[in-house]
Amino acid sequence: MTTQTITVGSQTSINVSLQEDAEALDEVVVVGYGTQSRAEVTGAIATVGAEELSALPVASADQALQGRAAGVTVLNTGSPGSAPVVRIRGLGTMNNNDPLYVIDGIIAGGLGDLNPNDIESINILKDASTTAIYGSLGSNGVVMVTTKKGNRLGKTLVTLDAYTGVNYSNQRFDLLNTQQYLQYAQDAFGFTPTSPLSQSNGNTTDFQDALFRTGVMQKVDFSLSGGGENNNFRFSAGYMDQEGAIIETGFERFSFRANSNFSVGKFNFGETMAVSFQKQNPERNLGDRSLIEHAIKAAPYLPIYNPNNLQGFQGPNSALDGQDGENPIRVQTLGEQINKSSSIIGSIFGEFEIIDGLKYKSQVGLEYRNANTNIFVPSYNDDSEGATHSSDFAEITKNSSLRKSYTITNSLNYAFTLSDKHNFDLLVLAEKQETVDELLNSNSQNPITNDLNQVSSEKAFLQSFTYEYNRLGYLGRLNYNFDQKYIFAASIRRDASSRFGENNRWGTFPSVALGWNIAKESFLTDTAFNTLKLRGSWGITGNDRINNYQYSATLLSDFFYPFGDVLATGTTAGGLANPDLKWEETTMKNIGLDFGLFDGRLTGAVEYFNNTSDDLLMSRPLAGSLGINSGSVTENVGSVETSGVEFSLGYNDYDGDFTWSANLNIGTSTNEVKSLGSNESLSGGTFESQNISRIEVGEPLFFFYGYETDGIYQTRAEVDANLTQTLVDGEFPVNPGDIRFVDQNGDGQINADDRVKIGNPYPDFTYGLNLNANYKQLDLNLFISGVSGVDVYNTNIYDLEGMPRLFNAGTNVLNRWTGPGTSNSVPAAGGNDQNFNSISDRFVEDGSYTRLKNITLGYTLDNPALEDYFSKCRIYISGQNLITISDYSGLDPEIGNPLTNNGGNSQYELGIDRGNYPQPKSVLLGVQLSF
Amino acid sequence: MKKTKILVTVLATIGLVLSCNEDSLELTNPNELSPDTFFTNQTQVQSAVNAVYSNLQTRGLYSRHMFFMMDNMAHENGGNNQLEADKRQYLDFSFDSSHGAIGAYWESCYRGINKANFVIENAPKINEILPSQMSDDLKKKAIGEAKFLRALFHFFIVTRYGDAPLMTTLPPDDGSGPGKVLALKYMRRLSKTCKKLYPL
Repeated sequence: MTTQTITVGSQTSINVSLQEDAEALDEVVVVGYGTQSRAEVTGAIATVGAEELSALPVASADQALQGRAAGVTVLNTGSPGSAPVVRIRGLGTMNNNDPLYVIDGIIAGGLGDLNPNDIESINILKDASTTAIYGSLGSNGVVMVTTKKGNRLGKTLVTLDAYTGVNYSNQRFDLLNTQQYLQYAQDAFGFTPTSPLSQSNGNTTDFQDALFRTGVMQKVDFSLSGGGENNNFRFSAGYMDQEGAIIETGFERFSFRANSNFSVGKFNFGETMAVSFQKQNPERNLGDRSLIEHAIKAAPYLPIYNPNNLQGFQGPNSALDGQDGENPIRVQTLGEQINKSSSIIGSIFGEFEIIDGLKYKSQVGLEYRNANTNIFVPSYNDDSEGATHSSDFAEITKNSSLRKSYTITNSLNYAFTLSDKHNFDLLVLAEKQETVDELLNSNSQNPITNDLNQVSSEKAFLQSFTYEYNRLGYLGRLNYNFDQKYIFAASIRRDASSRFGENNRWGTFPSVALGWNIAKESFLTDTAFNTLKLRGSWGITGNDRINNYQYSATLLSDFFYPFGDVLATGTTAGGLANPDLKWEETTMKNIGLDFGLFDGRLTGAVEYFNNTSDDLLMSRPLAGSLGINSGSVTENVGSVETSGVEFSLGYNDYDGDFTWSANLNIGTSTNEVKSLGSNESLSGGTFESQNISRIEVGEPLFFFYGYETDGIYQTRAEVDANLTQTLVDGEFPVNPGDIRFVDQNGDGQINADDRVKIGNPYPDFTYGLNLNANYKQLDLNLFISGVSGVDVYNTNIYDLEGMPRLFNAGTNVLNRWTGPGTSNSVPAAGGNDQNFNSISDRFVEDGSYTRLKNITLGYTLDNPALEDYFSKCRIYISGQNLITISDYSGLDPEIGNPLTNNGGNSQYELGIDRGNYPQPKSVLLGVQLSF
Repeated sequence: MKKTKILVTVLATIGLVLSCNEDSLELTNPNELSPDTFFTNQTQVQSAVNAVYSNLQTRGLYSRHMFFMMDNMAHENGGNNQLEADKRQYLDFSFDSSHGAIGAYWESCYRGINKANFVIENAPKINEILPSQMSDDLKKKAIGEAKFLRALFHFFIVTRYGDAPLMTTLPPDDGSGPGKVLALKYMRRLSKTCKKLYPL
């Protein structure tokens, strides 16, 4: 605020209205182990406020980060309560790319337990000068969460926020109806279903409509906050219940939080404590296929229910129906799957000011998390005449996990000023973290009854694991500035982790940053510039998210040899130890320019970054003659370079009755693999026994690799003109009506050597645009987010028009090739194996989209009669995901982590749509009250 | 002066709480057995020997590829239309070094050798087991079986590949590969081993 001088004359009352001083808009930014004035920041930090985080009806605040900050990419799924994929500045490794989450200074596993309405702000730390202080945890960026605190000397404030609404998904695939299906079965595969159900009245079951529903959601949050001269507090409780757009999916959470701070003389104390109980009904899968895939493939004449069958569902009979597409409604609704978790996350700290500016602080953080998965599927039979899908026992699965973790952080901080202009801030810190995870998995079968949802020793499977993970770290940091004009910052962290081999237990992670506040120079005073700051940073960060105990050699006991009638168990060494195993290391460079003009109305930043990740963990295949059972050894050999540009621009018109603001952010990120050690390539993302994604030197991570297609062979002459070898794998002849794959090497045959890069699943750029307008009591918010230049591997197309064998399919199969000139895009049915059993650009689509993520219209009641009851009363209506502009043919172009990942490295799943749970549209009505 | 004292106390606290606990970084995997603590009783020794035997029944050897390989190359099998392409290659000897099943045969043999070496190299530990836990005769038998099987796997290799690496120890930790050894040298070694095991 500006200082105002008012002469006291003869007036009896003096009205002073506070005026914002744009130059001194001294926003405080939360950084690792402290806070900093925005003017002194030299690193790349993006801040997302409470309003943005609570605008969307999401369970976890990281879902709401999408489109809010340049360089942060978030991939959501529609499944309520499922965690999103969060990437800061793109991909830097083929292994774990997840950012570090820090909640009120305590390292946490994620944000899933946290009520978004309890969050004051999220700061995203993106470059070395901000992340290197987290040493071996900083490589993938840091998401710093600060929860809400009470106001000192404020009136006690009571708030009640509630909304209720619906969510639904009205995207569907066009599938064949019963009549079309029977005709297709006959024409394409020469098969006539003989099941009595196929002969009946020609009814079509819409499995998609049966799978989707309109789900109801509601949320109520209550808080009580305030404070006195020497303390503040905030207590909150929240309840959230969200039914998903797919039947029997949903998420429910109870959350409680108590934050308080106390000052006693030279001491400061504070605590945070959060308890949450959660229950999720996920999308269920059996046989690693999604519900949507089942819904596409199921024979349309089969009814969903049949009271004559055990459990009352109808499914296929392979012999009579000629196919085995599973009934998705039975998969999702028979029995139950419940994921429950309860967590306690808290911290307590004490701070003592030894002399002016010198503070000693000690903080202890605790995390306790218990999670259970219970699956119960009773015995069932989907067709009394001989079902393809049946079970003559009930199957019970109960898995539990328990995490206990504590972090102790002790630090000394000394802030002082010399000669009025030399500002110093020194920090030394020691930190220790110990984590134990205990897992117990159990499963049994019960052939006698469906009435007991308990595991027993009947056909039982039991397994338990314990993982310990300990860290130790020391940090030193110096922040210096001369009159806030010239800024210098440096830090060094030494980190040790139990995950590293004994020869490399300690790592050193330095960083240096410089900043120049040009706006404070005399030649820019009295110009439009309020802010003009140039800053640059360099540093080294690490990624210790490698498997526990990976450095050690262990024994395996899964070898068997029959001696007589007894199967004897054999034990031998599993693999080689690697005592040199260590963290993955990223060298980060960042240069940025911040600007603010016209009294802070126009603000923005431009940023360029370049990260080089080295020592990425990869396995090196060993010579077969060494006879090592694992066949490979894990070493720090890979390298990836990632670079990009980020841009943000905001305009804020804050004067008058009508105020408005617009904020745009754009981030790019491209990565290139520089080294894979002795590996030529790696692949993953398996679909129908083929790998979709590949890693190769000189290419981006996880690019799609397969055949390029060029229409359909119309005539025999065309086949002969293109191919000299028309037998694929010496077995399958290429005929007219088959796909014309591009013979890249021109050897006259199509084989593995003709595969090329057919797509890149990481977007060229992501963007977000937020528009706010206020007129008197009305407020309007529009939020648009999107991605551009991204490819999706749409496996739905395989089910819709791949025609590998008889299943229900998309209506496009009616336009398939049946003779010269009939189609140049959909091949003949049942053609060459290569048409469907190969990865090709036939299934690759542009996944770019622009989405109206949120629109909210609010009205703040200004009725004097209400003032006795409320200090604020706002009602609003909002809609999410109402408009999506995209050329993508699937249900949702945004591909979050799928339910099924075929047990492999889930990183390879990037951009592969396996019939993922689409994000629903939603409409909400809400109210915000303060007392 | 008082302040200095406090400062010193505080600094000491930081050091005390944290730096003395580096032991917590030395962890052993509680979910799997460690080679360092193995070979302490008869069951464990027997289990390690069983593992060597189990390699005879891999797909690369007796459980699948070996009989296709031997029978087809010897033309004791003719093969009908259903015979898969890689097995047809045995009939006309058109296979090369990229042949999957032949690679599996090589790999199975050497994995068997590695498992045998795991027993043989741990002979000193086995011999330390108290006689009440495991008799000296059984110790000799276990090590002898491992030596015989190691010889047998080498025999499988030498008779089909000729020159090949001789593996008489566990490989080094860095995973560096062995060199080639002449087949003749093998045969001499093999006959020596046999003579030692079965003195006439």
